[in-house]
Amino acid sequence: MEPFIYQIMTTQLENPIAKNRAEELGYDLWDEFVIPPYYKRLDLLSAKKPRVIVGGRGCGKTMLIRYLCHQSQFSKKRKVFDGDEIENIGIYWKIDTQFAKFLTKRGVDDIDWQNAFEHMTTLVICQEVIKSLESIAQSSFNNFNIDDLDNLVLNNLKDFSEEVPTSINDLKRYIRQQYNKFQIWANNTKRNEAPLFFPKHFAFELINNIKEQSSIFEKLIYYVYIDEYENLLTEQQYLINTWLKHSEPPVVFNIAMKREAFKNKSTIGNEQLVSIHDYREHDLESYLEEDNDFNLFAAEILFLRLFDKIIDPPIDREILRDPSNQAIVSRKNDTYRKKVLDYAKRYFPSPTYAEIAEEILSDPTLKGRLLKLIDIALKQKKSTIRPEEFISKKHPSASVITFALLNRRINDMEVLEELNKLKNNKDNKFTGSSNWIHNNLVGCILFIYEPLPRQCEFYSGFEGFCKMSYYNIRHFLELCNRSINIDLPLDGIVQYKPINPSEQAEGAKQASTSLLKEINQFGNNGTAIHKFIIRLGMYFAVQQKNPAQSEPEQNHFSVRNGIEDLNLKSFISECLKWSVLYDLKLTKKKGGSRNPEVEDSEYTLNPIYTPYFDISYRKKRRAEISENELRILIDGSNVDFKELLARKSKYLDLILAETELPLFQYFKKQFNED
Amino acid sequence: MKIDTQSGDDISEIHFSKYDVAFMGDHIDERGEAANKFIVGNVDEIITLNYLPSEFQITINGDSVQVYDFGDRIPDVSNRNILIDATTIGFVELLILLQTLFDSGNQNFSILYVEPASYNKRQRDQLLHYRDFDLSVETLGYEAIPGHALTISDNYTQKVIFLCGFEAERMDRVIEDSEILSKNCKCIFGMPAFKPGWEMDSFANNINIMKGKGMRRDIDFCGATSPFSVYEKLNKTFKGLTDEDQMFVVPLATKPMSIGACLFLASTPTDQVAVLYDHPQKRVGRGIGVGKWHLFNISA
Repeated sequence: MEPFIYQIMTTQLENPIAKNRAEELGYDLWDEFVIPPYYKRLDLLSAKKPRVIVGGRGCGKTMLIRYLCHQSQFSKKRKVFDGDEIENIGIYWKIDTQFAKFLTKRGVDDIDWQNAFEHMTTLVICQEVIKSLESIAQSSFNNFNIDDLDNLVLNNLKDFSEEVPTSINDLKRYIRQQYNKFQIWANNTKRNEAPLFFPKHFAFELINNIKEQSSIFEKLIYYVYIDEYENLLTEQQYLINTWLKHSEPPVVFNIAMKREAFKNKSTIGNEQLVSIHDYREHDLESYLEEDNDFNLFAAEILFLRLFDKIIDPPIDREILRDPSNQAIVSRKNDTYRKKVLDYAKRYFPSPTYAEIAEEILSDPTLKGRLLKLIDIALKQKKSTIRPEEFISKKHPSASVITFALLNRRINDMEVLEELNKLKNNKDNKFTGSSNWIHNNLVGCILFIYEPLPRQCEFYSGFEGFCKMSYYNIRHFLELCNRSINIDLPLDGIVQYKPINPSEQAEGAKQASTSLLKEINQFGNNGTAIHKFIIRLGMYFAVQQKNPAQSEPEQNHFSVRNGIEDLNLKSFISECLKWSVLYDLKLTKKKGGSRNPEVEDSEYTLNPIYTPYFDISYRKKRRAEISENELRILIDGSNVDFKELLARKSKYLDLILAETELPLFQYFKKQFNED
Repeated sequence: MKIDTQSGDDISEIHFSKYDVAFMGDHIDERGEAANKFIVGNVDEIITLNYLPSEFQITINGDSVQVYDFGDRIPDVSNRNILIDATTIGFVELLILLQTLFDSGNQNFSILYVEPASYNKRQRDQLLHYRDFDLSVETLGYEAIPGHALTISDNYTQKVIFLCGFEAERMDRVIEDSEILSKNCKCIFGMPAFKPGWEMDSFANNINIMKGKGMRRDIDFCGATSPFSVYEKLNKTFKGLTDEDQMFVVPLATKPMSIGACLFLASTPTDQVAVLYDHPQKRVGRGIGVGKWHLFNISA
C-alpha cells in the first residue's frame, strides 16, 4: 500500500472522538476515563448497599461502571496503587438480552428457568472472579502475582460436586465447559439433559475460598454491576431484585438502567425493593444538572480525547484520571474552570445574536429575504413606506425583527417611530421595558434562515453545543465529531484547529439528523416514538414559521389538566426512558384558585433534535395542548394531525405549498396520501 | 451440497418436479398469491407454517407446537419430495424446517422463490431526504431462535456476519444492544441485486452506520438471488473458526440470501454457530407485482 494512503486510513481509524460509546472503547478505560465531578457522591468506598445507577442513553453510565470494574481498576496502564483497591472489586455484566429473552416458556417450568438463570449468573460471576484475579496478577499491584494465582487451591467447591477442580486454571476451563453445556441444553431442553444448576452460593464459596487463601483478600467484596437491567424479562428482574434486597458481602449486586425504567420492584418473595433501605439510587444526569458541572465535564472529556492534537491543552491528564478528593476539588476551582471553559469557547466559537443579525444585513441573500418579508407585511398593511426604511445598518438586531412586528397589529408608523427613537438614543420599545429585541430576535433569525440551504450559526458555539446535548456526553461528542472536519495535511501531522461557526452549525444539523433517525431503534416502540417526535418537531416548526413570531421558540409542552389516559402515560414514560423528551414537574392550579393544586409536568423535546427542525433549543415558550391533541400527535391519523396543525397556524397551507424542506415535503406527501 | 438453480421471467420457464408435500407461509402480496396459486394447483398436501416469536412456538396449519416437537408433528419428510415456498415462508420457519429435513436425512428438496416486480418504497438513506421519515419495519427486537442460539460474551471472539439489506437500522440495533465489536463484523451485500441500481439503495442505507461503527475491514458481495454463494461464503468463514471463536449470522438481506443462510445454519454443528434475528412483522403488500421466478433444487 502507498504510504500516503496508509496514512489517511490510519488517521481515520484513530479519529479520537468518533468513538462515543463505551462499548467501542473496550473494558479497560483507565486512560480514557475522566473522573466525573459527582464521583464522591457515589460513595464507592464506604457504602455496602447496592447501587441503582440511572441515566439516559449516552450520559456515561456504562463508562462509569466499566471504569469501576477490575479491567480498568487493575489495568496494566495503571502505575500507582494505594493498596485498598483490593477491597472493592467490580464486575461488569451486560447480559446478552437476545439470549436471556429466550430463557422462558418452551415447556420448562418457571422455577426451572429461575434456577437456570441463577446458574448462568453464577457461572458468569465465577468467570469474572477468575478474570479479576488475572487482572490483579498482571497489573502493577504488588502483593499478588501470577505465581500466587497459580498456587491457589480451591477445595471448598467440591461440596457442590466432586468433579469441580481445585486449581484456578482447571476451574476456569471447567466453568467454561459448564457454560457451553448450559447453552446447548437451553437450545433444546427436551432433547438435551439439564446440567447440574449451581446456585449463586457456588460463586460466593469461590470468593470465600479465595479470601481464606491469602490475607490480602481479607476485606474483599465483589460488586457485580448488571448493565441494561431494563432489557431483561420480568421474571429475571424479580430474581435480580431479590439478590439486590439480600445483597451482602462477599457479593453486592448493583444495577444500571435508563431513567423511568425501574418500574418492577418486586422480588421473588413478593417483597418490594425499597429505596434507601435496600439500595441507593444515583441519577447521573441529575448530579450533573444539580451541580452545574456538565459544561466543564464535557470540555474535559473532549480535550482529553484531543490532547495530542491541540495546542496547549488546558487540562492535566493525570488530574482528570485521579479519583482523589484533592484532584476533584482542584477541578472545581474557579480559575481552572474558567481556563478550560474559555479554551472550549475559543475552540468552538460562535457569533452573538447581534452578530448574526449583522451578518443578515451584510449578506445579500439574507438581506434580500428580510426585505421581502418586510415588503409582504407592508403590503398587507397597505403601507406606502419603503421596506428599506425599516433597516438600520447601525441597529441590525432591531432591523431583523421589524418584519415580525409589521405582521402584528402594530401600526407601521409606530414601528418606524420606535426605530427612529432607537437610532436617536431615546427611550424606545426595541429596548427598554418592552424589549422587542430580546423577545423576538432569535425567533426572527431562525425564521429568516430557515428556507435557505445554509444552517444558521445559532446552532454553533461551545455553550450552544452543551445546551443541545442536555447533559448527554454522547450527544456532545457527536456534535463535536460531526463539526470537526479533519483536514489531513500532507505531512501527516493532524492538528485540530478551532472550528468556524458555519461548520459547527452544519455538524449540528448532521448530528441531529442522524440521532433523529436512530430513534427508530429505541426498543420495541421505536417506530412509534420516532413518528411522535417527528410530528412534535413539525408542530413546533409550524409555530416557528409564523411571520408574526407571536409564539417564537416553542420547544416544550404541557398537557392541560394532565395526562389521565394510561396508554398515553405509558407512551410518554417510554419517551422519557429513551430521553427523546425530558420532563419537569410543575405545580399548577386546576381551573381557578379554588381548585386544589395538581402535580403536572412539562415535556421538553430533547434539544439535540432542534437543529433538524430549525427550531430553538433555548427553553423559552411552552405550548399548552389538550390530552386529545397529545393523542393525535402520538397516533392520530394524518388527517387529524393536519387539522391540528391548521388549528394552531393559519399559515399551514402556505408553509406546505412553499417550503421545499424535507420535513414539510414529507408531511405534504403524507397529507396528500390520506 | 449442490444447488441447481432455474430462473425465468415467467412460471412457464421453470421445470417443476412432482411434489408430495409443500410448505409455505401466509401470502401477503401479489407474488405470494402467484406462488400460492401454483402450489394449490399442483401439490396435494400443503402445510402452512408460522413462527410465534416470544412464545417460541411454531404453528402447523394453525396448531401451535414447541419447536422441539416440530419434527414429530409434521408428516414424515425423510423420504418424500418436498417443495418449500420461500416467497411466503418466513426466515425462522424456513430455518426450523430445513433443520428438520437435514436431521431426518433428507437433503434433496426444492425451494421456490418469486421476486417482486418492485418494492413498495425504495428507501435510500440520504441525509435530509424526506424519505428518511418513511417508517421502517416494526420489529420485535433481537430474540434467540431455539436450536440456533449462543450468548454473545467476551469469552469468545465473535465473527458476526451481516447479510445487509435496505433496513440498515436493524443492523444498528443489534450492535447497540449487544457486546458485538462492530469493527470485527463482516458485511455481505447482494450484488448483482434483483434489479440494476437496487444495490445502491442497500449501500446508501448502510454506509452511515458502517462508517459510524468503523465497519470498514471486511466487506463482501454475493448475488442477491444466489443462495449458494451465501452458503459458500458462510462456510468459508466457518472453516476458519478456531476454538476461541463463535460465529453469528444476521440475515437482513434478500430471501434467496436468507435461504443460503438457512442452508448453512441447518447443515452446520450448532455449538459454535448461531443466528441473530429481530423478527420483523411482515408488511402487507410490501412487494408489488410479480417478478422473476426461481427454483432452487437442493441435493447432497
